[in-house]
Amino acid sequence: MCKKALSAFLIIINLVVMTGCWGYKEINELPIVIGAAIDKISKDEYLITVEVLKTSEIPGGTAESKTTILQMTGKTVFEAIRKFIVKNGRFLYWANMKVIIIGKKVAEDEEVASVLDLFFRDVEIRSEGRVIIAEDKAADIFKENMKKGEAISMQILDTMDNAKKLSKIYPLKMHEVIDLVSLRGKNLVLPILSPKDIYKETPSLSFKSAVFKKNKMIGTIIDEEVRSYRLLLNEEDGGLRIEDVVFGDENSKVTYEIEGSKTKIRPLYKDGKFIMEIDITTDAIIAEVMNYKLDFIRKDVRDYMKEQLENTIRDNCNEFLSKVQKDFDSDVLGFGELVKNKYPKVWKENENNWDNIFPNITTIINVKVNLKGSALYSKIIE
Amino acid sequence: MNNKITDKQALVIVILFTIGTSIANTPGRIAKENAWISIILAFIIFIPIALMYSRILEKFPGKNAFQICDIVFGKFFGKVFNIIFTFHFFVTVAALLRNLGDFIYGVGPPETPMEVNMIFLGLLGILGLYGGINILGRWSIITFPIILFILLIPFPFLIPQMKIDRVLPVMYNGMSPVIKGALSTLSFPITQSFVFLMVFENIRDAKSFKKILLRGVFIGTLILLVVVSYTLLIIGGENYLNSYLTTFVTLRRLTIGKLFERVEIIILQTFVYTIFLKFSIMLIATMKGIGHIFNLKNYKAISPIIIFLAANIGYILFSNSMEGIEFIINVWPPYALTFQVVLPFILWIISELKTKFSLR
Repeated sequence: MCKKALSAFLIIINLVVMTGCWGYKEINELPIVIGAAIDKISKDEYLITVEVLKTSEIPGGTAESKTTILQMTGKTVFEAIRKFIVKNGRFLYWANMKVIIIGKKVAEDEEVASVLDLFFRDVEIRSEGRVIIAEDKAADIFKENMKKGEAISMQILDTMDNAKKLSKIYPLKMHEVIDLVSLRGKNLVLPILSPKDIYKETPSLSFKSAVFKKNKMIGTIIDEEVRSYRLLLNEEDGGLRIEDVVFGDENSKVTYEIEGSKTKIRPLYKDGKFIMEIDITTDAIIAEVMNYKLDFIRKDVRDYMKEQLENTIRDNCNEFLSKVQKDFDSDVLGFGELVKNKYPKVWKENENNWDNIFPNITTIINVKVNLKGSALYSKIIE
Repeated sequence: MNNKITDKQALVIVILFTIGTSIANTPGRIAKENAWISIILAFIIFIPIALMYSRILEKFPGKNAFQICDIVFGKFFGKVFNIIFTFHFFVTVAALLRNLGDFIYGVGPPETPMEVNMIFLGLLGILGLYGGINILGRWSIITFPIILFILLIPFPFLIPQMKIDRVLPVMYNGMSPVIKGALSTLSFPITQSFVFLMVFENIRDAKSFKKILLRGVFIGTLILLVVVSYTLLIIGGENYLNSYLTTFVTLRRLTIGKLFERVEIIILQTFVYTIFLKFSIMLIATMKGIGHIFNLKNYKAISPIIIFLAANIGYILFSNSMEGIEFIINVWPPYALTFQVVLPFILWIISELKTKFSLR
């Protein structure tokens, strides 16, 4: 009896003592960081801007998520992050960071991997956040939001996630960025965002992406070039292509919706020269025809349209390739990796000379377009 | 006390022992993207070694390796060998404690000091020691399916992120890293099964010991191979070498919708399960060795002292995790292989010679 009572007592004591951890954190005390922007303001001073979700307001009943923007400088990224305690009173909680924006100056000073190092190394921070380059200062993207108080990081995240239907942005997660930077046979391309795109009411948009060589941003590609980049990476899942179909006397604008593309790049090594054979197969749907006189039921019209689309895709890809090969000399498509996988010995010999070889690689592009249909109607709506 | 275990229990113990801590500290790091070849190679090398182990037991049925040492080398040299083996098991116990401390400190609550976790594992190990091998056997039977489930279920969800390019080209840097990786896999965890020569004397039939050892290590290696292959296909060779907890880093990348994520902590769970078994087995061997050397009848009673000693040794084994990686890659393989392969080999050769000469 005494033994039983004693054990019961011990169990109850254990219940009290052994609940939870030593270092517990309550959710209403956590300032959750959902986005961060990193700028370089002088030679060794960084400016960190964070968007913090105000969790303490949630218990009030409204599901509205309000955010605040905080700024801090520091000699390193981590120093700045620690100093936020003074501004906020508490440690920031980084596990939910969705977006990380890097200022243009950081990217041009070869420091992308350096500023991401902390976020990649830390256990608490998940490396799922999307990495974006700012058109000018990264802080501006958050700063303009100060008055509105809506979670702009969430909006950016959603934009990035749904961008595949547009095919003009190719977002990367943090761990993918780190992997690419450390890879020798492939270079990085990151989407560029400017506060204008998000806040200004102008109806035009610029789809830009930054091309890197190792850690250093060396240039930008715009609009169709980004699309070609995605296509050649075998990542095109959607998007539109607009063509002026001139057939006979009729001139009509046709919009094709891309259903999906498959790209295969095969490296060939012959007589000391590299050739890349690129096969592209695209499925397209005729989605919008802006002239009812175009009769695409006819086979010759269809063939013409198909050929025209094939030519456009080929031209776009060639343009893009010549730009990255001749202007940037940056192997963004991973030709080096492909060569390494197929001809390990050749790659070992040419690895250090790849910058000189890459601009002179011959590319052969074969495009095949399948016109899958024309949505719901076969005829033009008159 | 009935101290017998069935063959099935013994088999599961060997499997779990092999998976052991290698779930987190995946083997063959140095071979990078060719780690899977290293693992296969290591198992092939292990086959003759396993035959040697079982041959030693076969010659002296019903005895454990400590007693065999006394018989083969005589009183004085037998004692020397026993001290060497016991020392090795003791160091392994310390390293295991440190391993757990590092892991939980790295991924778990950062404010909890490492020593606390180490001491809790130590206390659990004492329970395992008092329970004996048959309790551990029954525990393994219950736990094995859980571990298998936890370990093999989440990885298929990562298939969309796998890229075959990450393990190509095969053997880009030649054979030498692959062989180094194989040796490190061999030293940890495969030939650590040497400890079963000290623990499994209850299996009377040495033939079944051979079967259990080979089969158990084979299944364990196979599970490791599957996990390592997944890991390589997802994070690639460079990350495989550079991250401390490869499987943890891999599972971090798992996101299905926005619902099913942050499952990486289950690696911690399997790790704690299997390290408990490994630790208990190693502790049993250590305590048996100490009992045998000093002729102690009630050798279990001094286990707390040994645990605290081991925790201290583990604490000073290396000063930080960078050194720990270096220790595992550079120091541990030659060190452990000396104890787990070379010395048993000497034991086996001399025992064979002795029987030959005594027959004449």
